[in-house]
Amino acid sequence: MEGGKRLSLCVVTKDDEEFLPACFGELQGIADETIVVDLGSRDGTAALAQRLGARVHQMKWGDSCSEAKNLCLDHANGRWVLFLQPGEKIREEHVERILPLLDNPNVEGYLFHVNNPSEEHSVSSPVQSLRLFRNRGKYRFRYRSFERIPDELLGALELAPVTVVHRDDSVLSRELDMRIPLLPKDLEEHPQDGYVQYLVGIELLNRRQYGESLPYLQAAYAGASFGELFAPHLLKCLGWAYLCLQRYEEALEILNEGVEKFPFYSDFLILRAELHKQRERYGEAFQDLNDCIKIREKPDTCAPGPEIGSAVLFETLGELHERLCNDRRALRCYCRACEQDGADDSLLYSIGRLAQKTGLPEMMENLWAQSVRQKNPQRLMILTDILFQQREYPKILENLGCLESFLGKGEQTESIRLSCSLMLGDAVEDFSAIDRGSSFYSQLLLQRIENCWFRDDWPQAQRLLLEMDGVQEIDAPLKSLFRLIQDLFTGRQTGTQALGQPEAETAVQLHNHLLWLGRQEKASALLPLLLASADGEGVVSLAQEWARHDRFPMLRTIFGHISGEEQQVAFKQRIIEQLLSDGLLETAKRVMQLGKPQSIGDLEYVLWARFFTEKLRKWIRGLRGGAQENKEEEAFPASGRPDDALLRLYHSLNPGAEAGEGAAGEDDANLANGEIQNRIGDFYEKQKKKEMALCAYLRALQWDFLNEYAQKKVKALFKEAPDGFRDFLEQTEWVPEGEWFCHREEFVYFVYGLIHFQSCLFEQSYAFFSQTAVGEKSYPAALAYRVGILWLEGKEVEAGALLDQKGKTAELILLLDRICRSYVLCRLEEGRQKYPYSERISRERKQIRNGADNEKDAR
Amino acid sequence: MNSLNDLQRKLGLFLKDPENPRLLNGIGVLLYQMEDWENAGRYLKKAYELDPSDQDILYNYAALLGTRFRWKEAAAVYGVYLALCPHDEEAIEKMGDSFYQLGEYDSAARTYELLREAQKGAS
Repeated sequence: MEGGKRLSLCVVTKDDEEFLPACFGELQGIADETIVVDLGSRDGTAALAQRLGARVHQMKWGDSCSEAKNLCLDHANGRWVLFLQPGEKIREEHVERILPLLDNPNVEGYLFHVNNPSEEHSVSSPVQSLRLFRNRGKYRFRYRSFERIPDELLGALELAPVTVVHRDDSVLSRELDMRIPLLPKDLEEHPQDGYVQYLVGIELLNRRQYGESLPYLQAAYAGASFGELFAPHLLKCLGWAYLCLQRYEEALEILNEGVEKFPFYSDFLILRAELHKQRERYGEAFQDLNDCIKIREKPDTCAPGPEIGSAVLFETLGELHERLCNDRRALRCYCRACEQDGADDSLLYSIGRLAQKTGLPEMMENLWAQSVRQKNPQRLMILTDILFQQREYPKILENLGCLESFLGKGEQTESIRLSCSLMLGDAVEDFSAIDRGSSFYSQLLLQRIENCWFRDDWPQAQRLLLEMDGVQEIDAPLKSLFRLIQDLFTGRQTGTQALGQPEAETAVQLHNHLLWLGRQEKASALLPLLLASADGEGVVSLAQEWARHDRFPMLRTIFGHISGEEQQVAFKQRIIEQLLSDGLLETAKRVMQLGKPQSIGDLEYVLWARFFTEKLRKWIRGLRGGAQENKEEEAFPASGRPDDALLRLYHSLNPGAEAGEGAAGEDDANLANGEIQNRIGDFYEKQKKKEMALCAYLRALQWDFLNEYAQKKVKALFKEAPDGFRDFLEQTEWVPEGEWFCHREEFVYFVYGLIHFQSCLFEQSYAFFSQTAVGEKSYPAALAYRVGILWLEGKEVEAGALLDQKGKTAELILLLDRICRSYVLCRLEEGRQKYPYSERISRERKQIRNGADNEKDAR
Repeated sequence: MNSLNDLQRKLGLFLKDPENPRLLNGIGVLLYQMEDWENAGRYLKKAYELDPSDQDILYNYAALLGTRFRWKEAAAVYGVYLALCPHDEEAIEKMGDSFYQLGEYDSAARTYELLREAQKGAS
C-alpha cells in the first residue's frame, strides 16, 4: 500500500536523556516512526522521547533484553525495523546507506559492523550485530542476556556496509553490566542450549579464563550446526581458547575446519598465522596472513565481518618479519598497522625503534606529519617521547613550536626544551619557568645532576644532590642511586651492588647517554654496577651501545657475564649485526670467536661474505695498480646488438606472453644475446623441454660465460640428470656461438670447469679449465678462472705468479673480480636455500651485485 | 617381458625376411623402447633406406636421430615426413626444435610459425 511505513526505529531506554536528541535527530529522514520501550527511567527520558515524536511504552524490567525488544516489535508498524541503543550511533557517512538496503527483495535482515573497542570485552558475538530486519510476526527474540532471533526463523541475512559505534566509553560498560549478570539465568533455563553455552564461553574468554571457557565452547561446538549465524565465531573462539592454552594440535584442527567451512571469515587465518608463528612455521604464517589481506581487500566477501582488526593483522605480519630480522619489511607492516582503525599507539614505539635501526628517519617524519594533520596531540607526545629515547634532541627542539601550537606554551613544553638542552650537555642556568612544586621540576633536577656529571662539575652536582634529598617526589632508592653514582665518579666508591629494576633502568639510560656524549671512561665506570643487575636482554643492550663505539674489550667483558648457550648465541647475533651495519668487520669477527664456536644462523653467511668481498676488493685494487695496458689479449667483448635471426626466433616463440609477462618486443633491441637465450631457455623449461632449455642456457653461457642466471640453470640441470647432461653436452653436434669459444671441445671442458667451480670442487675445476686454456679465444676466461681458483684456495702467491707469467690486463682483472664475486653470490645462494626468509642474505647479495655494477660503470 | 618376447619373435621373422622394412621398423621401435639406441638406429636406418616413403619409418627414424643429438639428419627426415603428413603438429614441433639445436634460428622460427598455423587450423 502506497504511503505505508517503511522503517521503524526501535530503541530501548533507561536514563538515556542525554543521548536521545542526537539519536533521533541523526536518523530523522530515514525512519518513519520511532518506538521507545522505556524501562523505568528516573530522568526525563520518557517525556523527552515523546516530545521528540516517539511513541513511548513503559515496561517493568523483567531481567530480559528479549522481552524489551519484543515489545518494540509488537508496536512497530514499519515493514522494516532498525534497532539502536541511544548510546550508539551510526557512522555519519553510513546513514544514507540504510534506506537502499530495504529495496533488496532477497534479504530478510542485515548485520551491521558494531565497533566495540573495549579491552575488557574484546570478544562479542556477531548475533548482536543483527540490527535491521523485516518486521514479520514470527521474528521474535529469545534469551535474557544476549537476545537472538533463532536462525531457523530468520535466515537470508547479509552483511551491510554500515558501522555502529558507541558515543561514549561508559555506554558499553553500562550495557554489559546489565547483560552479563543475566547469563546465569539463561544457563539455568537453557542448560543444554548451544547458544547459551557459547555465550558463557565468550564471557570466560573475555575474562581470560581460557581453561574454564573450554567445556562450554566444546559443548556448544558439539551441538551447533554450521548454518547458524554464530557458528564461525564459535569455531574461532574455540580455536582461540586452545591457542591461548598452547594446545596447538587441537587449535590447528579447529582453525583448519574453520578455514575450510568459512573461507571468507578471515579471523581464522589470523589466528592460524599466530599459531604457526608460535611454532616457528613462518612460511605457513606468511601464507595465511597474505591470504587474509587478499580477502579483506574485498570486504563484501567477509561474512560474517571480521572481529580482529586489520591493525592486528599487519602487526602480526610485522612481528613475523622482525623475528626473521627483515627489519624494513617489519617497519612497513607496522606503519600500515598504524594507519588502520583501532591501532594501538604502542606500535609507534616499534616503528620508532625500527626506523632508527634501518636508518629511515623519514618514517618518523611522516608519522609526525600525519599526526599533525589528524590533530592528534597524544600521538605527537608519544612521538616526542620516542625521539627523546633516540636522543634526537635537535629534532625535538625543531618540532617544539608545532607541539606548542597544540598544547600551548607552558611548563610541559618548557620542561621538554630544558630537558633537551641538559641532555645535550649544555650548561643551563635558568629554570624559572618551572615551578618548584611541579613534577617536572623533580625530573629536571635529576637531569641537572646528570648534566653536572657530563661536565665534571662536581661541586654543583653535590649541591643539587643536597637539594634532591629534600624532594619528597623522588623515591629513596633513586636518591641512593644518584649518590652512589656520584661516589663512583669521584672515586669515593669502587664496589658494585645489585639495583632494583627501576634504578637499574635509570643507570642504564645514564650509561648509554654517557657513551653517546663520548664519555666512555665514565660509562665504563658504571658498567660493573649495571652488569650486576642486568638480565639477558639488558646485557645485550649494554653491549650494543659499546659495539657502536667499536670497543671490543668491553664487549668481551660483557660476554663473560653470559652463561647460557642460547643467550650467548643471541648476544653474538645482535652484536655482530650491529657491527656489520657499522662496517666494523674485524670486531665482528672477534666477537664471533668469543667463547665456544657457535652457529649464528644466516649471519654467518653475511659475515663471511663481507670479509671475502673486503679481501677481494683489496686484492683487485692491488692488481689494478700493476696492470699492463694495451696487451695483445682481446678486450672483454661487448655483447653488441642482438643477432637478428635469434631475435626473430625469440619473437616467434613469444616467450613473454607464454610466461605471463609482457609480450616480446618491448626493449628487445637492448637485450644481449645471452639474455635472449636465457629467456628462450625459460620458455622451454616451462614447456618441460629440459634438453631444449639446457641448449638455450648453454648458448647463453657461450655469449656470456659469467652470466649468473645461466650458470645457475646449467648447474641445476646437471644435478637433476648428470648422465643425460653429459650425453647432451658431449654428443650434440653444434657449433659454439659468441666470441669466447671456437670449438665444441673447449666449451665442453669449460662447462665442466664451471660446474665444478660452483660446487667448490676447485681441484677438478682447475683441471678442466687448464684443458680449456688451449683454445685461443677462451684462453682469458679459462685463465681468469684458474687464477681465481688459486686465490680462493688461499694460494695467493701462485695466483700472482700465474698472472705475472701470463700477463695481467685490465680486462683480465675485471674478469677475476667478476668470477670471485660470482663465487660469493653462489655461497650466499646456499645460505638463501637454508634461510629462505633471510632479508640479510638478500640484501647482501644485492649489495654485491650493485658493487660489481658500480665498479664496471666507474671503469 | 612382453617386449622381449615380441623382439625375439620379430627377430625370428627378420631372419626369414631381412629386407622387410616394416619388420625392420618394428624391431627398431622395440629396441628404441628398450633404450638400445645404437641397435635401434641400425634397424631404423636400414628400414628407411629400404622404404623412404613409409610414414611410420620416417617418423620413428627422425625421433631416434633426435634422441641421439643428430639434429641435422633429424631435421631432414622430419622434413621428408612432413611432406607426406603436413599437419602432424608433433613432428612440426620436433623439426623446429632440431633447427634450434642446430642454431638455424630462421628455419626454427619459420617451423614454429607453421606449428602455430597447424594448431589454429586444428582448433
